[in-house]
Amino acid sequence: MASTPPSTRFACNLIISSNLWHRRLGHLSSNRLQFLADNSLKFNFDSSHKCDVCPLAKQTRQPFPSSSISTSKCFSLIHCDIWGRYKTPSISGAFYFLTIVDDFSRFTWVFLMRNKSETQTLLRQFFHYVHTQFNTKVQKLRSDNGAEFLSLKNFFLEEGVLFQHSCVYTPQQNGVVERKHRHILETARALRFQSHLPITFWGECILTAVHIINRLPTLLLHKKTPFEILYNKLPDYSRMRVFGCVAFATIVNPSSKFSPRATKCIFLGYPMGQKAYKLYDIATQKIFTNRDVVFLEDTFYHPPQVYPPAHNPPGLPIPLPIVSDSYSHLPSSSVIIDPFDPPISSSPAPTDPVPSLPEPPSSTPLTPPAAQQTPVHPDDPVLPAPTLVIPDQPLRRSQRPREANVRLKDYVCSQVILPPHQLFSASSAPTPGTKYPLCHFISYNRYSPSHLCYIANVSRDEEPPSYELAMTDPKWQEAMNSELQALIDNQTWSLVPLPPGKRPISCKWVYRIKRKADRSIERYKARLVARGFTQTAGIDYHDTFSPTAKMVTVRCLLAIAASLNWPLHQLDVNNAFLNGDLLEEIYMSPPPSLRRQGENIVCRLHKSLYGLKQAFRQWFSKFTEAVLAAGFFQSKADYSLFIKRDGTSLTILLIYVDDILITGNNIESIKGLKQFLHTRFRIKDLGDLKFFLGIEIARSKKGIYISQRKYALEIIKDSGYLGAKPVEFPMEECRLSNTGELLKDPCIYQRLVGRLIYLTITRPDIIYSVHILS
Amino acid sequence: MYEPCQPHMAAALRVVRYLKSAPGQGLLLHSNNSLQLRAFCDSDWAGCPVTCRSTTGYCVFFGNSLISWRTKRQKTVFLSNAETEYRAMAGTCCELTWLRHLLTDLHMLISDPVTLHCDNQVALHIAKNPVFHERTRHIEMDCHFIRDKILQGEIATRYMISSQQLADVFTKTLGKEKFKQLMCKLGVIDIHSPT
Repeated sequence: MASTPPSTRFACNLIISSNLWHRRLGHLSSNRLQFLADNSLKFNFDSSHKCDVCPLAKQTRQPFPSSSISTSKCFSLIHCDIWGRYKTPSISGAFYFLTIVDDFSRFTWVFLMRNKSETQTLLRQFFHYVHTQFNTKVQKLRSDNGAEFLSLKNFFLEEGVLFQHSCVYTPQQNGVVERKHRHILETARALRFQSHLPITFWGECILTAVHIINRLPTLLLHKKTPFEILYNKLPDYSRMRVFGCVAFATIVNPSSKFSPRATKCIFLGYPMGQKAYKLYDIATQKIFTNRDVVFLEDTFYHPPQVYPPAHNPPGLPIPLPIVSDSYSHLPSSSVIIDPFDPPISSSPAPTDPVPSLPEPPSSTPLTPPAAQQTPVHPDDPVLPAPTLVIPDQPLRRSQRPREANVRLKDYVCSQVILPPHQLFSASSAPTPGTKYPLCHFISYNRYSPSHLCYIANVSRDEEPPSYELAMTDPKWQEAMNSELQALIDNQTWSLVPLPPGKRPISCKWVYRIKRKADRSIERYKARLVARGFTQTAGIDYHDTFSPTAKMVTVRCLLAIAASLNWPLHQLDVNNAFLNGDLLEEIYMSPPPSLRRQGENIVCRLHKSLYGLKQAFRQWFSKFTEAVLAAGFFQSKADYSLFIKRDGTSLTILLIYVDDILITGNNIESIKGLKQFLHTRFRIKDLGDLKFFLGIEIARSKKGIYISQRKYALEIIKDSGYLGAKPVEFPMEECRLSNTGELLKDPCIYQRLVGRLIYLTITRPDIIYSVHILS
Repeated sequence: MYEPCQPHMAAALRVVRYLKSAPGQGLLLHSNNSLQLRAFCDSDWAGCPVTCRSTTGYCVFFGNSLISWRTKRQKTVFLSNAETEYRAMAGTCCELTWLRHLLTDLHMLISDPVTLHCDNQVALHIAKNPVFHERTRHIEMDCHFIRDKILQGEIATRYMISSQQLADVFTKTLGKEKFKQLMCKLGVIDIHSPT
């Protein structure tokens, strides 16, 4: 008998079918599955099964509880948020406002701010205000994750305030104040549209809107007003006037008997701490307060405007107001709406109750509540609009330093990115976004794709010019460490104290990106070179010779190769053998990483280092010996040129320190030469000649094109002239004389001219100018 | 170079701005070339405002490809334009002699005399005329090197009117049109120029 009891078997079957159908039907929900199980599929549904795919596929956000008032007294919880930045500053120069909503009373305070950083001061002041006025303390503060609030954490800790901030991307948790913003802005917009005020008055609209909202009954507060809850008395509606209407303020001390007795103003709201009205004097363009005011509540000063949906006010119809003294004494740039307007008498509230249920702000079309009570009137024909027009503000340009797009760094771009430091002249440097982008002057569309790729690789080489720069990059650090280790292992030097009367030569790191034949990066190579030019003849060295070919020879060879269509090949000599034994006694100051403060320890060199004057000579004599033995003939016109003639075949070899260029009319003979060199030296075959001594070489049927594009671009870049306006010819007809102010730092000039001289290798056009300059 | 002033820097930066107009400019070495040397030489006279020395400028073509050029301040002050031109011819002659050696080493045989173009008739006459002239007796002896080379058949001088003088660009500042025209003749092209 099978040992499984039937009930267990059934249960097993049940789970399988329930799970199976769940998976077959695309992980449908258990409600639907139960419906299917009961009606059509007829299997026993098991609701307890778990699936780990469903959450991955379908999980949504948890519902937010509908927020209600959770507190039992005022200031046990306040909600804060910042609104802005708005593109136009308000009259007082504000771009932001800080909103504080008390959770229990829903009373709202708004503070206009120029900068977000004012938040900290305002909140501190607010805490003091609460303490003094209401003899209580704020217990909890809820806000979003704005840095302004987070930076106050320490302050909250000291005050014993519980700081609650919402989760990331969850503005719903700060819903009370977000909903309040919507209400404030709805009302403020209505106030502005009814009064046709210019957009610079938005701050006044906001302040007045909050003043009104605090005095409106709310469903949430059981049709009481926030004002009532906070102050335990009814708000006073008798002093409410239509915002933006024309008002006449009595002149208390008229200058003469026939001077006018009132000034025409625009009503701008209710000032704090004064039983008066805030007014804007049309004639003097100042804001002031006055208690003796007669309102024309159905007259508006500004003609109705058509508000385009883009919210671009078509220029300001009236001049910007100047904030009067009585207005500008207020702390910082903010205007505090006074919560104690002395209630005089009560009048029926002409407004509809507004629910303050927190919900995320939506884009429902607004229905301005105030617009219903105050009809919009056409402009007053008696009052012509002033004709003064404010000049447009100049467009603000970002001060952010511009950098090339990182995604484009693998491409050769013709963008002009000015270096942050303008090396030579700051005054003549154009602003970013030049009128003369490089792409107007350089393009690469005449190259074959493969050569283009090669050029891009060449252009991308970024070899750090200094030790300090290289130290910032781990790959160069690693390269330096391995080179240093190799030198120490090779017993290149021993550290000794400097004997008296000896002068050490200096050394330097140079950084090169070593590439394979297709110019893909092989490795990063840091090389310690002795600064041979600090050696003294007769002491540090005796005989030198540097196998540098003349540039004319190089060009001549290229011209011949172009004319006769010979192949051109390039070899790279691995210079490990340069570190030969040294006969002279040479001391070198240690490389930067081995230097220690206060010690007078130097390296006594045992082996030759790259850069020593002896090094080239040793290497060259060794090379010459080998090549001459192979049947080559050394040219007397240029000692770095070797020629071998074997019947009709002609092979030519040119050596420039450790770069070798081979050409000839017989490909077999060239191959033979390469093989021979391989046996004698450690040599890397770089294939066709493309980049030699900084010269870019491109070949087509028409001939060989040589240019120093990369070098020229570097000069332009380092001079800070990438965005400069180009000129058509290099020098004006002028005679440079030695008059004028001497340069403070001639090194910059000398370096620039030195680089220009090297550029004349392929550019006969500037040689005369450069000659004059040197 | 040793005591640079503000105008020097301004002029150097102007060269940089010129570079910007064609950063990728270079030289085209033509294929299918004749294997002949041609040279152009020119000089200004007392061009240096400080020392009143003159400047030699020359360029050498191999076939149609420009291979050698130079601008060099002369070591001596000369009394007349003809003398500086003569000196320039001598300097060019040295370069040509060296190039002949180099090409011979490279087994490029140059049998014909190399043509040396000059735009100064007087200098050409001094070079051709073996009789020492009253007014040229102070010219340094090494300048007369060129006479030997002409006699040996290595160099042939030829007159060329100033407007076609290619070496002009190595001895003076030129205006835009003339400059561009000469650059074009020198084989300077810019394959990077946008079309």
